[in-house]
Amino acid sequence: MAEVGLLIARAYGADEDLVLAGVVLHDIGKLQELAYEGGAGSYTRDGNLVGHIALGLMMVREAANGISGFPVELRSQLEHLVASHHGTREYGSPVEPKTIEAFILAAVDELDAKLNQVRRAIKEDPSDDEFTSWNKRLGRVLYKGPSGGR
Amino acid sequence: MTDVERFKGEFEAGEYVRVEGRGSFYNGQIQLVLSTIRRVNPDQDRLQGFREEDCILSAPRPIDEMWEELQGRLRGVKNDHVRVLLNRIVTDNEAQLRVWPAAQQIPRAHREDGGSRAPHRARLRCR
Repeated sequence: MAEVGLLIARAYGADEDLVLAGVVLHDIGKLQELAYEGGAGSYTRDGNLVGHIALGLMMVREAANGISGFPVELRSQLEHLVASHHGTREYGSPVEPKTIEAFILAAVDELDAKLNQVRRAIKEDPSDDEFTSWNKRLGRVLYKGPSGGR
Repeated sequence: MTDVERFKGEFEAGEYVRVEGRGSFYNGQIQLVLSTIRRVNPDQDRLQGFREEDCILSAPRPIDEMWEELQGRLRGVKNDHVRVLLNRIVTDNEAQLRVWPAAQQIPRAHREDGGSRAPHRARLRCR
């Protein structure tokens, strides 16, 4: 994500530092949202009751408040990146992207997630057909290549 | 195995188990019908090929290499405030960031993220 985000930031003249910060921080709340005990993942109490976006916002605010002279406007921009990274309210963001950097972050995050789904669906499809079976999440079959990509 | 209720209390999430069963293709999906299941005995089962590292989802690159890449990116941040904040958060959470998976999927109603992707979150034991 960092590589792609920074390429797009350069191409569109966006603030590269903010985009990189968004890449690093956007899911940081998952460290408190999820717990891994004995190798199994589960939601923490705060994860269930608060969610990773709000938890991430609190982590960023706490860190920023602990740095003497941290500009309030910059803190707002960083928090906006975390708050809007799901792109729409429908997908759980409390606000939609309102800065160039937030648009870039949300788009790159979405692309990254989608491509991972496509890769996984193709890799895990058990048949030797050229196409995967119907993928409900993606709403389509996927082309694996001739000979089923083998 | 027909008596799922009888067995499900015997194992904890995260434990390694050895199973025997029969795989088949049903309705477009692979299904595994188990005939036996038991807890792995690492010393004994290692002789028959059990490797704990095979059960750990790992990033495709060494974690130290990815961590150094992250540190390099952070060093390149020009805005002093942003750099200090990122370093503080990353440093404070280094232990978790090094071993937790990126965007590990636990089903939820809203948008689901993809698989491993951040350079600093790498491993999760298999369940």
